[in-house]
Amino acid sequence: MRKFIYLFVFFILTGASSILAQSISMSPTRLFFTGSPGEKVTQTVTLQNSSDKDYVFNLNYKDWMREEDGNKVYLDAGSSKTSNASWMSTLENAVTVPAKSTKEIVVSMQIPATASKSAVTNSMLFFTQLPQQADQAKVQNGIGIITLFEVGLHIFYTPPGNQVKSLDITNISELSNDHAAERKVAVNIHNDGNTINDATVEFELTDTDSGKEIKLPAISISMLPDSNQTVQFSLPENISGNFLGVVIIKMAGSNDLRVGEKNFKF
Amino acid sequence: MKKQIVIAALTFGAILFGTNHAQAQNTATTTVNITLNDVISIDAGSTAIGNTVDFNYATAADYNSDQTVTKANSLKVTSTKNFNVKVKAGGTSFVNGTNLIPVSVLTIKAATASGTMGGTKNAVVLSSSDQTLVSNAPLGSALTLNLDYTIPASKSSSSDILGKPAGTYTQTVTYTATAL
Repeated sequence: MRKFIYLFVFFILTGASSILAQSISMSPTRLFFTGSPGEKVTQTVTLQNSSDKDYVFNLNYKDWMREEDGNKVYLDAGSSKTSNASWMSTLENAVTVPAKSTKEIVVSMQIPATASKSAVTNSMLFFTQLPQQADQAKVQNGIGIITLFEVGLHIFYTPPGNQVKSLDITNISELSNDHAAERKVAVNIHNDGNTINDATVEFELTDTDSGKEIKLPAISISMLPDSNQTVQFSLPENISGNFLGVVIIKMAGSNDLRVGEKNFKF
Repeated sequence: MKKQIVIAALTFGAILFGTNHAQAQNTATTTVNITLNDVISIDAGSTAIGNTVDFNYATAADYNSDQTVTKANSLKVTSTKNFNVKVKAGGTSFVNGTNLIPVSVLTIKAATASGTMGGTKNAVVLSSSDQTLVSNAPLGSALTLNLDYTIPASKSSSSDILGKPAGTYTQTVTYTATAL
């Protein structure tokens, strides 16, 4: 009996240690600010270093935008129309997170007095690992690459009056493709609300002859107001027959759904 | 008889008191709040964290063949949301004093056995701007990505590398992880 108890404790401990694996983590991954023009608002982000080594991070801002395929593109700070990088500040430009410790960083946003009362703005704060003396290439003659790590913290500002959460399915279509084995259906979505909208997009196909249903893996999206995104669903190989395709968009923090239907012949 | 009445009254009282007491216990409630915060983390065991990848050119054969260094567990990421990984060099060249080799000689891509990280993986010809290595990787815990660092023979046998003064040419390569 005692052996079993020891074994049980051992499993719990090993389980816990794998959860507490040595890592550098950032929480949260997105900061949502709101406030009136002229106001200063602050939030904190926590960096945790559970490893045995100290890490030094440089703090720097960039703008970012999302292309229609969902890919994020980073731009120089201040170059995007919706940039709020110049509103942001932290007390330090570099932070050291000692081994086995946690560091809280206060991120401040000074909303300009002239800020739009309707426009959502965004930027990203990067924590970039700085190389230390120990991080040196070991090769004598050749090419040495020092690999480093960086995490990005999304920063959003939503004016207090912006409360409309809405997405619109603008099109559902099969993508033309030479390879019949790699058929895809594209769903075009427009954020016609005035807030950042996190949602999951589901796509189900029902064979109109046999009634058989095919549910494809859901895709998560996060859209800025007045932006468009195309979500692609890969169809099962060699699918053929008449199908009814149903798109369901579930918006986070709301019971609202968006549903779209289209008939397909594959 | 009197005794029986007293016992009955006491019993009744005890029952009442007991039920009241029990009721009082039933109405006590506790609110349990579970606050979940988004987290993104990279495991310090990742070889992409303060580590080095070395290419050695010592023989003619080295210059005339593709050189690939496979780094298992290059990245080990835990994320509570879907995420992307981008990669960029710290400059346009590998530097040895005033001698330079363009960073574009190096291609980084997921190894054939790429690990447990999902998402769409792209081969990246290194540059100083951010390029997508993994897009929309599904959330998960300790997701591993094994990477191949390749310098093709077409680059090592070209004037990009061949004929450059001997020495160590170094540059940083930064992996950027962001939530969806």
